[in-house]
Amino acid sequence: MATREAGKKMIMLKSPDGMEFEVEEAVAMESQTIRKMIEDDCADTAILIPNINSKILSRVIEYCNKHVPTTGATGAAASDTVAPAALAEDLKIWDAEFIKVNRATRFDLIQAASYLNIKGLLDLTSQTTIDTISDNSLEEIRSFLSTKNDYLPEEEQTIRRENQWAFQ
Amino acid sequence: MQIESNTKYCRVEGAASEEDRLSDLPDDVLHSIVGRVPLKQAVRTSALSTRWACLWLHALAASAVLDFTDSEFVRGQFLGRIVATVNRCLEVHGAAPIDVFRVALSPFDAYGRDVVRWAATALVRGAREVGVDLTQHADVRGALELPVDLFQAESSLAVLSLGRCSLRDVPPGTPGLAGLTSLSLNQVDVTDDAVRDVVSRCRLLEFLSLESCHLLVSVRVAGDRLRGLEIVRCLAMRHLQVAAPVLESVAYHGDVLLIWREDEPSGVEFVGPGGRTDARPELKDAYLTHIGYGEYDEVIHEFAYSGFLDQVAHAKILTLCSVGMRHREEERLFAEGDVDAPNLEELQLLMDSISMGDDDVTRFSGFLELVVAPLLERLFIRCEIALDHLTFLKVVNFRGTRRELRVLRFVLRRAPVLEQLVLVTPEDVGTPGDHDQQESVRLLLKVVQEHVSKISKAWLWQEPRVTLCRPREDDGRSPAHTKYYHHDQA
Repeated sequence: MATREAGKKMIMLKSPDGMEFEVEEAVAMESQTIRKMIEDDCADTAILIPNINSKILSRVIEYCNKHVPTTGATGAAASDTVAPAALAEDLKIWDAEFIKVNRATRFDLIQAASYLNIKGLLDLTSQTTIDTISDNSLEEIRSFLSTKNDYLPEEEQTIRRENQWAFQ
Repeated sequence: MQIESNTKYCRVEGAASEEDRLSDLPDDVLHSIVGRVPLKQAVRTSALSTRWACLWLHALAASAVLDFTDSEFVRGQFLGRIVATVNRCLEVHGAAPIDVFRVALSPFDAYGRDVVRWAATALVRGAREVGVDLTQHADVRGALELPVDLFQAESSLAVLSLGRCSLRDVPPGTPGLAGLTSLSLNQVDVTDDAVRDVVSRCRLLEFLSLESCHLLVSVRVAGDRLRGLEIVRCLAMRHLQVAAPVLESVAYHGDVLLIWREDEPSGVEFVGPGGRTDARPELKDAYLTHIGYGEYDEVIHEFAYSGFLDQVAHAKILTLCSVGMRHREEERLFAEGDVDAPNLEELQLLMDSISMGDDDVTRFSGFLELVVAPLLERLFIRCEIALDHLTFLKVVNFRGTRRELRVLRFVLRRAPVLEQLVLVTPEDVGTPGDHDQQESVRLLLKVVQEHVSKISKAWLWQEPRVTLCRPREDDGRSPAHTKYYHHDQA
């Protein structure tokens, strides 16, 4: 339900477990998926966000709240007085704190960021996985991701032979 | 990452969620993740499980940036495999737009037509940048002739980089080149006239790089928007005239053989609008070095270096080398004159020696006295050593200590054409019949081989042959002097 509160346009987001979150439209539009819905006028009533439970959705909203550009939305915003570099530094520290979550939550967040198309959040949440894949042996990656090796030995041999250069 | 450092947490979590959450993510999410892993590590994921078998390829293909120039990818496999991977990737990419396409393949062998087809595909799909590098190994066919129809249609092409491709059939005014902002040619058979015409016809050109283009003798470029110019190892070049009013950045590396000409102030000229020499462009930075080239010869090099340096000394940032300092010093004997550098804020000197000898120290301080740079804020000195011709290296009394491996690494990284590495252990390592010691020699060889292999993949053209032996097994080359006087003291 699009309502008005203190001059700001509000949007209602619903999680599949029945929770409702009222957020500023500008905050919700950090998600390209929601932005498209709003721009296509599909957002008259509350928007149901499938597959994202209330716990994860509330964290996503927390992220968007922090990352929504401050100019305009809150009138004389902090950005008038705080240098952009300091602001970016502050965001970086906040992000580092935000991402201190367990593995299951992080994968939930990756999935949510992907579905809602929030690039900054996707980058932030997938960085640990990117680092893990970049810096570890196959065995370590498998154990980190709980990946079961379902290759037959000869299949794995073929795969390795095809791109031998990468396994040396 | 913090999860791994907390083992207790990790174990609890592992028990709670045995499922592989990452592999369950949709393809496009996985592509975005794998697409940001370095290529080698991304390809390795194919062995994780069947779910991952093709993810790396699809991740690569999902991107608008198709880059096949990763040095290990290029050097580590047969041509046919590289070609197959590029073909497969373009196939999976389908009709989606391509922003950047880069490939390195050499010798291009029987695959010249594939390379041309890839470039054509990239251009049709709207590529802004195309790079084709065939320079790594010489090909009996010489350069790859690019057909004129490749660039016949107008395109979005802005950045073009060619290595050992021929543009002989592509006339300068070809429509597909009209939008170029950056052009880099390496080992390309362009002529003086072709360069002049291409630059004048590409009105948007901001950056031009000419590397190892050996047909160039007298180059004249004129570009109203030209901001950057790079000339590297164009060894036949005798004269350079640049008319570029907004030029900011110049880099020159090669022999300063530019001839001092009676009728012109210098072999090198940077001129302003209408060829006015009093309206030189305000350079931000200039790089002028010839390490590896041009020992001073007063007949050939008469004032060539000083002439060049004077043209660029008004830049804010300069990188010069010790060979140049030597030229300047020699020339000083014939003519007085400081290097007037009124705007210089940063100076970097590349010293072409492993350790500075007394000569270099004198030259260095003499040079700094010559440079009049009232605004200089930052000075960098870099000691360079290049072992470009080193093919044989022998280390005697090698035990494989960390320090010895460091020395080895230092030399290997600077010796791109090294063919043979001989390591002679001390006599007491690995006595025949003693199993443990033989085992330790075998182990040492393995360690060294892995080490060398790693370095050569990253730094060298080829992997040197490694032999490890005891003194009495060593039948390779030995130095001329084998009497060691310092031993006699004992």
